[in-house]
Amino acid sequence: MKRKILWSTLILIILIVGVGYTYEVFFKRSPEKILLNQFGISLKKYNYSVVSMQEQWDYNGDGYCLILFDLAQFDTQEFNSLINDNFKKLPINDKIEVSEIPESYLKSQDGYYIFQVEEEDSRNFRIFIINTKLKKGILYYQIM
Amino acid sequence: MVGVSAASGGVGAAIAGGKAEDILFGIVQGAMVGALNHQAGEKQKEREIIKFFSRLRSQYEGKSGNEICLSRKKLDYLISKGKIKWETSKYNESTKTFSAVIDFYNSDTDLKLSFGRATVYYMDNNGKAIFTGFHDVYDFDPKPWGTRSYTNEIITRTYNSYSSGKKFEINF
Repeated sequence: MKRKILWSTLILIILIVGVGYTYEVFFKRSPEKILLNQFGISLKKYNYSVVSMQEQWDYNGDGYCLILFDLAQFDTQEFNSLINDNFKKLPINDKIEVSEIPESYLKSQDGYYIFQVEEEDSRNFRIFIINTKLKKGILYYQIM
Repeated sequence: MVGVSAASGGVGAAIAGGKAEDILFGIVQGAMVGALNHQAGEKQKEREIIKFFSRLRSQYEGKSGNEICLSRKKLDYLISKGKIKWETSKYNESTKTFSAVIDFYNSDTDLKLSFGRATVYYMDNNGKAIFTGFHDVYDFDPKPWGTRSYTNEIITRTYNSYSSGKKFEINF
């Protein structure tokens, strides 16, 4: 009987740890994972920090995600290695629909950005802005 | 409505030969009945509108793809129930109107499920917004895993597979 209880407890602990590990590795949302998922950009080798992350997803699938990265430790070389051919130079020339992005970032003059928009509904878009002067990065996307 | 009921209550009590207290009681009772009727009427109106929103799902599942045009009454109702995010406002030079996000995240379940987030259009009249338009697309489009939260993606995909409807626009 004692052995049974011991085994049951052990299996339960393994299950809890397993579920926790699976969640942490595969399902937990993090700013880094979201950036990689949306734009294929990895910040692994860089020195950065996450200032804020906010997202809201409604039951019908509408919502948005807004992440602010602090790139204060970045030098010119690091900015250059992060920016690929998909980036365009700021200021933003594309038409951006109403969004939760702070106006100051939309009006940035120094830096680069990637912008992707759905053909069918221009309100559904994603953008990653790197302001090289303020040394900040902002990732935003919305589904409406 | 409340005033008329109160007056009727008072007049009724006076005709019946009541004293001042009876007339006063009649007025109060009339006012209460009037207020309750008014409230019931408002609730009924609200329910009628909410029923309309449940039809959005039928429209989706019917797969006609036809646009739904809102009446002014329904637009006003939506504006009163949603949260307009003024900080998202943008001015459109060509149409001379502003647009902004209206968020139903904290509204009742029916609106939450029906709209989520939509766009409203308005004109500025000396600091007062005059609403001139509304736009949303009713759909349950699956996105790559990791775009939405997992729970939200599962709900959206489940409903999309279950109903396999056709998206349509909602405009004013």
